[in-house]
Amino acid sequence: MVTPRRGLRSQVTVAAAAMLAATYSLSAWPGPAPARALPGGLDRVASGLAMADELTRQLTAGQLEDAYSVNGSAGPRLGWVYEDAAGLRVGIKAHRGWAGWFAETIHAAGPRVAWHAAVLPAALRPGARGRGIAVFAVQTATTQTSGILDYIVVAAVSRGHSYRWIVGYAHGVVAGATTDVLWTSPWHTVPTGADLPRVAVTVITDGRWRLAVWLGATEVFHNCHLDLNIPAPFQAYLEVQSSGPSYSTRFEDFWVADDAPLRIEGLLPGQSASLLSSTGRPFASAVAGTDGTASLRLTGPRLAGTATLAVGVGAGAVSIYRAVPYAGGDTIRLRGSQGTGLRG
Amino acid sequence: MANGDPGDLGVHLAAATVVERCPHPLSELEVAVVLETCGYNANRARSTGASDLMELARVVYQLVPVYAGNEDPGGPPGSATATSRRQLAWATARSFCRGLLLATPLLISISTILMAGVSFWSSSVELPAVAGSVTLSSCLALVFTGPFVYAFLNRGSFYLAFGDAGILAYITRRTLGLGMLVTSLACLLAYVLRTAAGDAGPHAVNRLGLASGIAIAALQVGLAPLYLRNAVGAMTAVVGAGAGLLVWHVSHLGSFIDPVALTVWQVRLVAVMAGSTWLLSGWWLLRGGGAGAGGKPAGRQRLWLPSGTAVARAVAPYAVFGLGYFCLVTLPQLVAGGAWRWTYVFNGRYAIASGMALVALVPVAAFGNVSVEHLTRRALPLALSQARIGAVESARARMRRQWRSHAALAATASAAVVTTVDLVLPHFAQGWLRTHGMEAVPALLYACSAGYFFLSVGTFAAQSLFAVSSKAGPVRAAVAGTLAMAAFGALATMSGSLSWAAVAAGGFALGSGVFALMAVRAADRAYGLVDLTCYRGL
Repeated sequence: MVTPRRGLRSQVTVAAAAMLAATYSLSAWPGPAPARALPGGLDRVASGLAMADELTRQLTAGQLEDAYSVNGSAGPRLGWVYEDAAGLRVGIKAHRGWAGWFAETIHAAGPRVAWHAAVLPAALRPGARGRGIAVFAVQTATTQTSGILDYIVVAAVSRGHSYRWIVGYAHGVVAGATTDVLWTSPWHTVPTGADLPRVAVTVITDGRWRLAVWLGATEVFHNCHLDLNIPAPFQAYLEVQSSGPSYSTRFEDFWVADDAPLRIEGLLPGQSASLLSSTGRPFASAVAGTDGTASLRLTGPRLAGTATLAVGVGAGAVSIYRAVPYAGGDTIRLRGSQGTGLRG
Repeated sequence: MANGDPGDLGVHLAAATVVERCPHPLSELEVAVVLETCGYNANRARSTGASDLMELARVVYQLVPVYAGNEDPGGPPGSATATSRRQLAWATARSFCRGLLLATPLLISISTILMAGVSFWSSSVELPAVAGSVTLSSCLALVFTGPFVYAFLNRGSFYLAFGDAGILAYITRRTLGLGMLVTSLACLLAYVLRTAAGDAGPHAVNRLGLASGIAIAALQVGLAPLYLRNAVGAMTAVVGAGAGLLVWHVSHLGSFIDPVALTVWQVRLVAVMAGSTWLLSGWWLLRGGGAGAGGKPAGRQRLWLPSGTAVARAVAPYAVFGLGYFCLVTLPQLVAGGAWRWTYVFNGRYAIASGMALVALVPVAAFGNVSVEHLTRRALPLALSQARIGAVESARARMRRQWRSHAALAATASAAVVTTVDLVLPHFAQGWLRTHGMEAVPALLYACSAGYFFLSVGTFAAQSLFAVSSKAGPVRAAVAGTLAMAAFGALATMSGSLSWAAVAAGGFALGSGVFALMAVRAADRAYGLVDLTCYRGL
């Protein structure tokens, strides 16, 4: 029989537990990197993917703000942002003077990571005067506490019927950043009415001396002797700036991954492991050491993606694992029987 | 009983009054005589629900054994007649120390908020979406739990005086449980509306807001029984441990603080603190207060089981006061976020200014209870015991003077704190304020400080009025203050000449000023008419 006192205590205990459970479950926040399912026979032991977002979902503003903070000098009356199947669109209406608007990742990562986004800048409207800039920036996340405004900027600058890409380093405090341009492309002409080509931008920096930038598969800038002094960790800014005309840019395929080798475990010593592109060509290979682990070195834009994993099983035969989502810093372990598609 | 309800507060106060004067009445007639000498007439008897004085005397006579059983062997509070002035001073000093102890949890929580620089009420929050959702829920939690907490504290203190653990456990569960339920539903409604209004689909920001609303409401509700029992040690342990954990956590986060991770951590910490207070209440404070059949108190406490109407009548004024008071304090946050434009965006500048000025409430938190206790339990009986019938007016004038001096002391202490926050702190700790995101706009800070100064003076006056069971004054003051704040906000927003933060700060200062003015006038009048039957407000 339950005594009154015991009844009261159990009621209070159950109520407290229920309140705690409700609070904990409601406050759970979605992770910055989605879960990545592996084909049968593989297990992911460690993940090196810090953030990943295809940026092609139909999202409300509220859902978007679960991962990004929207802000900028243009203010919400001029600046706009939304995400749909065509990408994350960041734009700014016509105005006077320079103004910017951006979506900033609320999570931070770094320093030894690669930052990647595909940028699809729009061309300026015919007859529009002024400049529009599509910006992919990697900025220190300590700005709020330190006031330091240091960042790496990769931008497509549009004017009239032409555009060019620049790589720069901006430094300053609060609102007074100065940009040092480190690399520029030649001016390219854009046919009337056409958009600028989609370019995948990849940035790797340690925030101190090293900076490497890829446009597509081409490494356009690399220097290990800079004096950057950007305090880690970093956040990505998907941004537009305009000197007056309305301007917008789309972003897709955003990810942040460790700038580290992909480790394949569970191999026999001397066994090889390779990642194959969609055309079947290997772009990273390694041979397992005595501990049965192969470290596949990945570079720039190849630091995250989906590829075919080929594991050599001797006498020219390989095990094939198709559609393997991978990232630098991942550790993938092969289970007992290797591979599902043995071929000679 | 035909008319008088044994659960009615007025009847119990009449019983307490009789036992003070005549601990062992021999008959209902003697009770009626004592009541009459204490100022009870037919009208006043009817106000308690009895048909006439004899009816009231009959009900009171039934209650006398219970009151006599709880009689303090050392004599009732009014027996301070024999106390020497030296003993009185010593007792006052002890009470003041107790007041300081009681204010310890508040002091710890406020200082932690300021030191950590991560509270939504005192610092700039990096993510507007998160800040907006969480502050909105915080406002709802405070506004909706306020009435229930106030009602519980006042009704609970009444039963606590009789050591009636059964009914105390009963009303703790019913009042605070209902408060928790109502607040959770309000937060849930806000979540649904925010999710549905243009932002279709559930998302983490709104869920986090709902979680924070529940956690804050749970903590409010959980701390109420501890305040009621003056469980300073337990409160300090819970709040101090939470504050310590927060400071430790923030200090280990390095130069970058992930705002989402920190917010989630804070909400969960508040929930754990709330859970701890609930367990403390259930396993310790309410021990021996088990419920009988149907969840109602068992045994001899059956006599005390109040009817629903009696409880509602007794607690309604306190609940209305709590609602008005918390609206006055919290709604300016929403006004600063554009509530009069049917929107809400977290306003960091107003939050910083109001969070810093909030410190002005601390002196009243430490001094108010002590002062009121001194006035009603010591000074008042002493003054009246020394007065002759023909000189009662001079005794009342002495009481009014004493109240005024205490009010002036409270105002001076509050003004000193305000001055320190407004002038001294920015002068000596500019760098510290800047690095903690608390570099407020001076005009905003001054307006908020004026508001909290008035609020603390008004709070003191309201406490003084409640102590002599005068409830109408505080209720009118709180409601009028809230209406003034709201009216100013609406007009100023429509005129468009002020920023939303300025509208909120100005409205808060005006509303608090109205609240303070009305409460002080009511208290001054009440203490000028006070006597041993100071429960006339019933």
